Amino acid sequence: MVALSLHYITKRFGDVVAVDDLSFEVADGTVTGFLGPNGAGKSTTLRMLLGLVRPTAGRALVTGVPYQALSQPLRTVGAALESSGFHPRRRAVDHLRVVALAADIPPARVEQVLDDVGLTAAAGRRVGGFSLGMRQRLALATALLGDPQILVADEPTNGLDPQGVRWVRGFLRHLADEGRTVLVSSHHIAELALTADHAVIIRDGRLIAQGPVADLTGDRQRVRLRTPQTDRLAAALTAAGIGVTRTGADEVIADGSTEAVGRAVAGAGIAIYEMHAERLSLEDAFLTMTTQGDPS
Amino acid sequence: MNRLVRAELAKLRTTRLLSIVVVVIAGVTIGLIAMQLHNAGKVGAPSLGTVDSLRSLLRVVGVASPIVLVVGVIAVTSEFRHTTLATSLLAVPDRRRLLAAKAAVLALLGAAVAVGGIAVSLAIVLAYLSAAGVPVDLANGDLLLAVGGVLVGVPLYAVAGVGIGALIKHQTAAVVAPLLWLGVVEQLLPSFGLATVLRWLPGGATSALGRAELPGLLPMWAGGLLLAAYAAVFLVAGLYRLARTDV
Repeated sequence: MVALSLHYITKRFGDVVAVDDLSFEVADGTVTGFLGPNGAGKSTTLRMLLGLVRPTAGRALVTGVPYQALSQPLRTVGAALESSGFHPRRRAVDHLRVVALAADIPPARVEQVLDDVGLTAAAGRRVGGFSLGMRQRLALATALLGDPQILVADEPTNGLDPQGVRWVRGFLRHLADEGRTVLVSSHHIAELALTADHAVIIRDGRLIAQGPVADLTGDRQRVRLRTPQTDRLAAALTAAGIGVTRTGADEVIADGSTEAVGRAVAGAGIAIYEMHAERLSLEDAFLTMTTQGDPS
Repeated sequence: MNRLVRAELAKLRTTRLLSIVVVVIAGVTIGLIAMQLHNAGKVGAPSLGTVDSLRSLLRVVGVASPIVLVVGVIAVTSEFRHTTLATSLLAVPDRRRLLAAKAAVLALLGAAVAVGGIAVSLAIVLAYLSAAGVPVDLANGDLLLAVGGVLVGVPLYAVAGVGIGALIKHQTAAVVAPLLWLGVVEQLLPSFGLATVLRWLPGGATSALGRAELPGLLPMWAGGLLLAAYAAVFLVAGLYRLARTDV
């Protein structure tokens, strides 16, 4: 089953194309990281999924239907949006009560979600006095009011201190372990590598890569070499069609498998002091993909 | 729908807005009544206990109109200002229903303010007159019409505020624009020789509804209908704008 899907979706703001013919799906029960640099169109895309932003073209569906057509939206999908605000004068518990009332959710859920995110003690305080971390917890509590199977979180760790980041990460993991579908966006890839099993990467509103995190990082290898003959090594690797980056007076990084690099080195008869393979992290893959030219 | 109305009511009740508004309306109303009672019988003001005096004391309650209009504006624009609109729309994706619920709550608020204002005003006036030993006859058609004008006018202003808030979105602009229009633009029109158009404008319609002693106004019923039409136009225009807004 597909929890969330985008079909050839485009959004223009005047002359600016924020999202460009983007399609992807989020399968039931997966944790998908939605990645891209700042301004890549992540928030706009999530807001189109939630019926807040009208696509210029294409369709965004939740469990196969547009958000507006969901009979009980908050029981189907919960959303913690980056700038989804709170009235500063409203108490946290009142904020949740208002949403519960509007969405026809039993009032008992309010106490439950406050407890889930550890805000019970602050329930009676006005949100204006909340720290960023507390607001993020309240946003997640709001998203969970309807006990939805699908959760969408837009940059939930943005601006948080390390404890806050760790808490959000653990909380999302916990929700995923309960079998929920999670779509979480971030421009900070290291966070997601720890939580997500799928990744969708966009840049300038266009899809760059998607798939299991292991696939996106797994077969990309590079080799770090130390040699007194960097010039000759670089020439030999280049001749073998392997990308080269010089990182020091006697150090070179080759973009290739150990086998390919080893053959090139042996063929050229170069003395190597040190040679080891490096697995690219998701972060490296992300940076490579989002800073180089369009691979399509 | 009932559920949405209760949710919108809870939104109003859980900020300070409502208590501030009640205090402001009570203060202004009581202040104006005290002034009128104090000035009664002096230069140009009708004498205590006359129908004219009672009518003008009851019409004071209409001062709540621009205030509940501002509440209507804030009920919508604060959702933009504090970006709570996204949360509201996630719970209630149908923007027509959301705005209709807000309009219903503001109409109820306007009606409550009008009824409460009339009750408080009558209590003060009757107590004052009885202390002053002035006899009063409340069974008078003119007084009933004055009460009716307030009961219709105040809720319509509140509903118009909801429409204006959705139309303009920017809180300060949406508060200032209608007040500037009613308080300055319409007041200046006669001095530009445009007194004849005044009767078709919101302020002119309000004056007609309140049966003000101004030349060239529409009949009271037409003033009420015109005011209702303005409120409806603002609400529909606001909805049209809201439906096309990216949140």
